[in-house]
Amino acid sequence: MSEPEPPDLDALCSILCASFIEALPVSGVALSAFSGSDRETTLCASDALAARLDELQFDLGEGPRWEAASTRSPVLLPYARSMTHDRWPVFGMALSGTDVQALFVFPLLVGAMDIGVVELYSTTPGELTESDRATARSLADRAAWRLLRQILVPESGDDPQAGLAPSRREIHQATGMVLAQTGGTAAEALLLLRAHAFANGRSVRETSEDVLGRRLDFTPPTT
Amino acid sequence: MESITRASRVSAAFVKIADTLVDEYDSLDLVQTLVEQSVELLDAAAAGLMIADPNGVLQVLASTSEEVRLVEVLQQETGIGPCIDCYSTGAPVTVRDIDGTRDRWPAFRDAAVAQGFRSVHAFPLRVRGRSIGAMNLFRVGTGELNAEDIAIGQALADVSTISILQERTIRESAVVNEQLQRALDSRILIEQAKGMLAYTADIDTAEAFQRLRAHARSHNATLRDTARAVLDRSLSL
Repeated sequence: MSEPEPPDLDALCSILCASFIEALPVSGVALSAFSGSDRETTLCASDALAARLDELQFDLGEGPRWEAASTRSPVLLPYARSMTHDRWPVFGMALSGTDVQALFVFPLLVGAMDIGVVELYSTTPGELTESDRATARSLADRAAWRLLRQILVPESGDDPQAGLAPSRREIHQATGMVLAQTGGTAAEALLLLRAHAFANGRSVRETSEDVLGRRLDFTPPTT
Repeated sequence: MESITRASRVSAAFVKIADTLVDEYDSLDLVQTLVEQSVELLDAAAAGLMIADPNGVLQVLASTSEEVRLVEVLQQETGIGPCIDCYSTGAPVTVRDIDGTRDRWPAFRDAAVAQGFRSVHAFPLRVRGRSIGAMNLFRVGTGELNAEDIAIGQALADVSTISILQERTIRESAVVNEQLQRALDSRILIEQAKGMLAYTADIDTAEAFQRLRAHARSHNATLRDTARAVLDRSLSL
């Protein structure tokens, strides 16, 4: 078992961003991984405005990206300029100072894990067609799985064995156990597993086996 | 007499399956039932069903045993082996003597033989000319399946495909992808819930799965929703 190294999420995010731009009638895209945790967020964007939209919401702590993450459902704003923004008033005002006419946010999910969000904007107003929405959801699924694989197996490359990682049941079972121990979110539980693996020069899988074998426990010490 | 008994068993199995194909059926529970039926009808030791994830990598969706060892054999396959051949060609694959495959799929051979499996038969899951996965039957004896067994195996695989995809008329590949994704996603939720239950109730993961399934069935809920409730901490079993 080779020693795991921190994944290069940036390069992967760029590839994933491009897949949305190519397939959908949008002007720009921003993809941020692990949006639920400010400890570890990777952002990539096709242009400065896309990046700005995400950063604004991050700084303000409000906006459709947070709603998509918390509801685990897409947030579609086809007429972003003519609508009222009751749920994110400050972000709504900021939006009116940009060229953005439509904004579509899709959560990146695998199981109970929130992997991140992808934000698409357009400088022309209007809804995505049913077909475009299906394509966007499909691309979001693909991105979520690909990111998960990268997180678990950094050196994936073209190695077919690398694809094993997300399917390993023990990783997901261990995530559930850590979830029970820490009381956090599933994404945080997975990050804990991964962090522990890196810190000890072990694979996520080996670490998961320790958790399942009750040899490793993440229960916080009582104070 | 043998064949009459067989025919009635086969038809009973399909009636049982048809019974579950009502308005709101749980596709994961049904796929689980299908792999269990395939083992009984085709005299196999174990069976597993795998579908491709959004990146084309096969993932275990259901298996007759929750035991780690069977899953291990199937997971070996996600790299290289007869199941991936079946999936990538969309054609059935029969390996009549696993031990005799030499170095064709060494990791798969070792894992399978260690479990006492001597032959494997993989049936493709197909929709409109596209392959989405494979159902795999492992037997303790060597040899091929006869024509009747192959027909039954493929019929069970076809019903699995229908139940996973749910929609009867699928026009867009994006919709197929969505349904596949949902099935895989459900499987991950179930694994996470198993881990959570195993820890909180201090039981093993196989027992945790049994509790999940029993609760889902007795409350007319899906495995997915039941797992979700456990993970949300709104349900403790």
